[in-house]
Amino acid sequence: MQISLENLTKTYNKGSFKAVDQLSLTFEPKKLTVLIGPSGCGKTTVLKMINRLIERTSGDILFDGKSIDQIDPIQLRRQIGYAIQNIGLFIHMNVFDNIAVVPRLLKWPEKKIKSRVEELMELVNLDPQVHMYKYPAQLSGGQKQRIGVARSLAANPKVILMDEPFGAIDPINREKLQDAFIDIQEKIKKTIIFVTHDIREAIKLADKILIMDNGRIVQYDDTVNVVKKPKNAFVDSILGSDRVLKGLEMMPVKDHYSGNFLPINAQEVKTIAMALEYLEKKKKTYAYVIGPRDILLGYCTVEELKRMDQKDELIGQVKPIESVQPHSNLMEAIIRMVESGLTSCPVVDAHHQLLGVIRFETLVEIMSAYERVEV
Amino acid sequence: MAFFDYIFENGERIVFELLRHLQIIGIALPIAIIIGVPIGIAIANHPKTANVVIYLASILMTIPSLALFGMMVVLLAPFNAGIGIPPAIITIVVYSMLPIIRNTLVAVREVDSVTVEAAMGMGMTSTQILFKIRLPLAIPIIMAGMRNAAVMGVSVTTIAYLVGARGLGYFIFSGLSRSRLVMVLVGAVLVGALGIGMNYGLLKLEELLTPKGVKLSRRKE
Repeated sequence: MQISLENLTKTYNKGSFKAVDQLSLTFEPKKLTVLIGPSGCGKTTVLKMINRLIERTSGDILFDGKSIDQIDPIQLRRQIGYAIQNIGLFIHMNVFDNIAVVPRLLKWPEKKIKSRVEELMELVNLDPQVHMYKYPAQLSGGQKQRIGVARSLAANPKVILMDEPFGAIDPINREKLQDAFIDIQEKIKKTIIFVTHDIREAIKLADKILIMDNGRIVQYDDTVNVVKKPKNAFVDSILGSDRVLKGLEMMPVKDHYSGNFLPINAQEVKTIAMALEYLEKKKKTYAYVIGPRDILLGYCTVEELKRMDQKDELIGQVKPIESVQPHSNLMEAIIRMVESGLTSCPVVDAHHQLLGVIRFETLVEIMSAYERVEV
Repeated sequence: MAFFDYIFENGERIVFELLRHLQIIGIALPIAIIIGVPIGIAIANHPKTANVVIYLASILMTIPSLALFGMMVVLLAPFNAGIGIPPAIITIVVYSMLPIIRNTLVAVREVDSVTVEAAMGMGMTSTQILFKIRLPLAIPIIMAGMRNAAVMGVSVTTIAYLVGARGLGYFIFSGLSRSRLVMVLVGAVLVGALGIGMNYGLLKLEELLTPKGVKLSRRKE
């Protein structure tokens, strides 16, 4: 479903305070859009106007072109998933009944509800056998949050509104929930509008980011573009001084590694002497060593090879190295480089077959391509 | 020893008056609940009205029960109901208004706003929110109000003996007029025991009616 805002405005105190000011934009279907900005910027107000928990002052909200006024608010809310910061689980209902709320409002047959609840609990990684009849008081914060997400998905809504759904969770569990949530969205592909004040969360989850200040749009663009080209100093300050590094976190290795490199094949280069000769001929200070079927064994450096017994077998002297996979992000690659002290990081597939390398120069190029913002 | 002798000799009478006492409360309390709980719910979202209602209920409570009985006798006389159980029931209902309305009001109002917002956001109508969310969560507090009213009912019913409602007041007032201290003592002990028993019984009922999840989350706190 496509949701468009047209000059959406919300004022309080007889117009003297504009919480949301002439907002016009379209939320893309099946994408996750994050609304972010300082507190009081109007992001939650926008969210609540979409399910009419707050009535707008003027302007319009269109669902697939249909004005929000033409839709009964109760019916509208039943078709929009809603998850909020303090979860709002009903403490007098068990997990099953909590998830079943909207399907029951929609009068689904009980059998269908039961299979739906089980399906959703598996989706959010909670064993239905164990947790279905527990009460919120018997769940951990992270588990409650998962139930909150499951509940918002219960009646299979096309649109889901989420207001800092992971806000009340400790950082470690929040990371886990975010990872799980990315997988879930990958599977369900819903139109999600997500409010947060955590820029890391925004960058991690969002397809598009909407940055707001004083009820107005400051920048609305794909996440990559926002990180790469902050529109002004305000956006830059929201992104924070480490935005370049945050940017690396969202770029997968697979788009940036090079297959153009020269590993040493331990099946051909058998001794230390041969390896040293090979490296010196190629004018390299180190090289990765591969075995049968291109399996990465480790690496060797000229400096260390020189100090070794030249007749020794190379394979016994290879130093192990941590690698990244194509779906890893560039930040992980940098960390590996720092750990090994090399100017590159090997990229392997799930079978540990060497696919290529990610070079430090590439990372420097990417980082320097970021536009500087004059403050 | 005279105390127990009296009890054994008058067992039948004691059981009869005790049942009568219970009967009066048993009729009055449900009526008070049927009137008080809806009023409490209705005014929960109207702070100004709520203040007025609570104020009125408090005033009702300050009227001495004897005065109230006196009024009942006069007011109900045209309906041939000035004497007996009706004035007792009406008086208990009047006195019960404050604890029941006030507790219902507080219970419904205090339900976590996040919970209510979640329910609204999920598409519940306000009636559904009331019956599926607010009331189940409010049960413990509403029940506490009822306990309050019931225990008060026990003592008010005692005085209702004076308007011919009978009940345990018989032992106290007859004892006083006959200067038989044993009777007074038996009456007082029975009234006290009934009050405590009533409170305990309703506490058990509250335990039974409170949703399991609410109990669990209270224990956690």
